[in-house]
Amino acid sequence: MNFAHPSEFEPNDGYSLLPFQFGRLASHPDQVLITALDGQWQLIPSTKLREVVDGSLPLGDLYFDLEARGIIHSNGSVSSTAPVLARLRTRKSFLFEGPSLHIFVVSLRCHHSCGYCQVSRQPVANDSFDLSRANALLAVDRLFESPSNSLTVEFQGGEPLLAFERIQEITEEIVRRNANGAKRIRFVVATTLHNLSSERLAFFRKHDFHLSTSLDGPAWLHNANRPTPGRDSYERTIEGIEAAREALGESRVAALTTITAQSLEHPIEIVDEYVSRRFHSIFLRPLSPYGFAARGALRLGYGPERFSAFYRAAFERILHHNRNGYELDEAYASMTLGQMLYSYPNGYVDMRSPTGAGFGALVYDYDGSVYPSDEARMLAAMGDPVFRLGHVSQSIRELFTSSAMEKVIRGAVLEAIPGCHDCVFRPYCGADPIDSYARQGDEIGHRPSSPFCKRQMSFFEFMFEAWLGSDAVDQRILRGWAREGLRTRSGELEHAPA
Amino acid sequence: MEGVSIRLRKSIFPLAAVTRTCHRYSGDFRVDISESEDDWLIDLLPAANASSTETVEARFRNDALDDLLRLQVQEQSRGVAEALLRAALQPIDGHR
Repeated sequence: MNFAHPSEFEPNDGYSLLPFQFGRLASHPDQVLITALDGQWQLIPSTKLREVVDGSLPLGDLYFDLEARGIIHSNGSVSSTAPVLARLRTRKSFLFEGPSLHIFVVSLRCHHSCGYCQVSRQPVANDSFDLSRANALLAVDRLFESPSNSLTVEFQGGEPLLAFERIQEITEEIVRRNANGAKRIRFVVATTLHNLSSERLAFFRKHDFHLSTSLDGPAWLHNANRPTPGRDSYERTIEGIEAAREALGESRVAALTTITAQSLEHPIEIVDEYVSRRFHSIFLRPLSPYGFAARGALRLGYGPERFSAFYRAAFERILHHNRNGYELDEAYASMTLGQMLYSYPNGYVDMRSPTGAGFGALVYDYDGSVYPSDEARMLAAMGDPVFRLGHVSQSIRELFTSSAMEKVIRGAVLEAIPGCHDCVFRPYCGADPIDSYARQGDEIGHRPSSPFCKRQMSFFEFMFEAWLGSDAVDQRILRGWAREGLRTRSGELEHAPA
Repeated sequence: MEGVSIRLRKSIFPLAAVTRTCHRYSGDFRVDISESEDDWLIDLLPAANASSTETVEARFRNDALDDLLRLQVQEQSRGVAEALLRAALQPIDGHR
């Protein structure tokens, strides 16, 4: 049998462009970064860009690299767009699932008085701000209307453990209704861990809960950020972390840190605190423009440039620990690297287009209101219920055809938003119409003046810089993060407790 | 801070490319677009917090060239982009 000469398989009828975006990185001034529709990317010499666009790129390594990454495709029968289509479909497959993250706000009560609190906390004794049993059961009805076979149920507050009985009732009702195991259901509670007991831990163990807490850094910083009457928030959280680890296992307890202006000066201390507390993941989360954080913006807030400088220092410290043998990832970096290096859907609802608000998540507030995201709920708590979809007594269909959801949809698709549609980082970013509205009064928003956009652009540029500038050791570390970032982490990382 | 005036040849830059570039600068500048017979006339007036305008004209011209290429990419790939997205988001049997 004779094989045809390799030249028989070479494209000989030119090529066409597939949709792509391009931009320039300050760290690589002589090159252009090209990203394809499905997030594949290639760095090319600046001098080659016009050739690529003009259709005059000769056959060679660059040609085949661009074709492999779905940036060009050869005309004629030797080429196919099928791989691009498969990758794109995989990336957007979350759309077929419907909302899979369901957040139950069981109480607004909280014993903390954090300056940056994202919700309207209420006094511990005031249980009129608890989710009623009737509304809780209606919310469970909505949960089971979701087409997704894989659901995350997150309990949130205030401090949700102050309404532990409601958590029990909801969990048991969900388990009872899912007795046939038709849906994979994962339970998460976002808590300060101050109100644990052996009975509660036994309940969490029985239902395989994940506990998500907030740890803002060393004791002095955590306690300054999170005041309690006893000034012992840090000590009680640490105590809760250890008790929960013992009862549920180390992997069942995750922590996030909220970065205040005071935190910005202490990237190394914050990272080292996570290492000393045996965490293997840290999420360096900037302040949101909501709730008390908005009112305290002058004292607690900062611009994207300061956050970026903090992040770079913290990132370097995290890498330092990894190089010395201690595994620790930064969660947002991991998820971004996962999107840069692999073609899988993003489990994190904040990094999706179309937006994860509503499409990926629903929030059931203490009073029975339903929101497409926690941020929409915070906005309502600040007096603007513009994104309130309706009440838990309404069907999912009614909630999704509400005027509030129409407003979400107007700013839901990055591919259609001015300033985003041709952004080189678009495949890795998420549409957030509620954030745009909160910051700029419009669900589409104005990207050139958006601090959120500035921060995101700076972050993605840094991720490419870190990846492209890394040696073999760091690249192995970052690739490990990327694989970690592909795990569905919705719920674990959505929100820190107040 | 003084504003910057830039001329771009109409024969080279379609309005769609010019408006894209102007939009990029609309965070730091008040942007005004007018035209003469042969040119687009762009006036950039710095916002209160704008940094130096020293290099802005050079940056704007480079960005305009990039946006011209982006427009070409978009025009050449529009059909396939729509077809890919339509096919990718089409439910198939066994997958809602």
